Amino acid sequence: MYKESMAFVRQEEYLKPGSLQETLGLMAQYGDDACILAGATDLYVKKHTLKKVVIDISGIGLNYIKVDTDGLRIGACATFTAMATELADGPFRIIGEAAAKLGSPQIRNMATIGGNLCNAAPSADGAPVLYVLKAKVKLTGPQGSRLMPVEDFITGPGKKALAKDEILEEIQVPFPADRTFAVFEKVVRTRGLDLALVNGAIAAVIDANNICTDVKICLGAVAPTPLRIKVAEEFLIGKELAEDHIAVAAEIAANAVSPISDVRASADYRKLRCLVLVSRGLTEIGRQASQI
Amino acid sequence: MTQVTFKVNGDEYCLWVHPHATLAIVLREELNLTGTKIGCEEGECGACTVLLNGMPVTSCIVPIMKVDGQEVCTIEGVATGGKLHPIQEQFIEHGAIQCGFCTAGIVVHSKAYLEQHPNATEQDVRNDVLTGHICRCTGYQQMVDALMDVVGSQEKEAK
Repeated sequence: MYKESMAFVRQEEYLKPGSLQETLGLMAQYGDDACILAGATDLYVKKHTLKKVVIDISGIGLNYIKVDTDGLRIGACATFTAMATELADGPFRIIGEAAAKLGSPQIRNMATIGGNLCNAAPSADGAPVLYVLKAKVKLTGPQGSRLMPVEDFITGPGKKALAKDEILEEIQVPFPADRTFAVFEKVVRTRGLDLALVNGAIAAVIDANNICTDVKICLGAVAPTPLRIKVAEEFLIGKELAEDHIAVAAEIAANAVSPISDVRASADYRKLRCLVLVSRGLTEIGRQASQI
Repeated sequence: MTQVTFKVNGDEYCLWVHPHATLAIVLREELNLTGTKIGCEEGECGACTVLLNGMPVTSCIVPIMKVDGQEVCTIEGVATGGKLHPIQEQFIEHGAIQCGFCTAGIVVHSKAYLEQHPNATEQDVRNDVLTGHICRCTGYQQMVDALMDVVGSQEKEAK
C-alpha cells in the first residue's frame, strides 16, 4: 500500500537541501524512509541505523554562532571546533570550554551541537552547560517553530522530544545573570577520544557576601538523561558558599544519582566522581567569585 | 550509485560511489590510496585522519557525499617532489614509528597543525593533535620530540 503523494525509495540516496524549507519538504516527501544528518560523527558510527534516504542539513545555513541583544544563538549545525574557538571568551565561555572537550580535534571539526543533543546520549558533552545556563531549543516544522527548555528535550537514552516532522534549528542561551560563575568537568580515562564516565556543569550566582543566590547543577552519564540535581541546588540557595555547605551539597548530589556500571566505570566510582565533581566545581566557583 | 567530483592531493577525481560510502573506503578501494589506514572504523583511533579543506577529520566516518566539490589531502600528498617532509624525516630520526599503523594519520594531522601553529609547544602538540590518535606501540614521546624538532628548525629558518 502506498500513498500517492509519497516518493518510492528504490535505493539509497544522500540529499543535500539548500534551505530549511527544502529540508522540511524532503522530510514530508520521504517520511520514515529518511533521516537527518549533520556532522555524521554519531550516525556513521552506527550506519545500520541509517535510513535509505539521508538528508544532510549541513548546507542549510545553521552553522552560525551569534550573540545579539537577547543572548547567544547557536545554529544546530555549529561544530564543536567553532564553538570552542568562538566562545573561548566572554559570558558564554563555559560553553566553549565544554565544547573543547568533546571527542578529539578531528571529531570536533565535524560534530555539531544539534547532532550531540539529538543523539541524546546521557553522556552528551554539550548538554550539561546548556542545562545550567537555562538554554532553550528551537524546534521547527511545517507548522512553524516552538521553544522548549533544553532539559525537556532529551527524554531518555537516544530519545528526544522532537516530532517526526521537525528539526532542531537552534539553541538559545540567555545572558547569564550578573555574578554568575560556571564550571564544566568531563571525567575521562584518556585525555581525548573518550566518552565521559561522568560529566557535569555548575552555574551559580554568588553575591558579594559569598551567598549563593541561584545555582544550577547538571550531571551527565549517571542517569538515563543528563540530570539536574535539584535537591543539591535547593540546599545551596540562600546559603554561604562555605566549605561545609559545599561538602554537604556534594554528598547530596552523589546520593541523588543512580549510575550504572559499564566498561568505563563502576557505579560506585561514578558516584564518587559526582561527589568530587560537585565539590571541586563549587570550590572553583567560590574562588572565581572571590576574585572579582 | 551517485557521482562525486573532488580533489585529492591536487588531482581531480570524478567517481561513481554508493551514496552512503565513506571517504576512507573510497580513498583506499576506489583510488588505491592505501596510505590512509582504517583502525576502528568509528572515528575513535585517528588512524584514518586526512585533511578535508585543510581540516583534520577521521575519514572513516566522513560521508563521501560531503566531499563532493571539496579538497582532500592524504599521507600520499605529504612528501613533495620526491622529498620527505621534515615531519616525516624527524619521525624516522626519532624512532617514532614502530608498526606504522597510526603514523599516516598523525603525520597528516601534525602537518596541518604546525602550518597553523608554527610556534607550537609540547603541550599544544599533545593536547591539540595527539589526543586525536591512539598509538599502541610507541608511547608518543618520540613523536612529541620529532615534532618539537620540526618546530625548532622551522623557527631557525624563519630567523
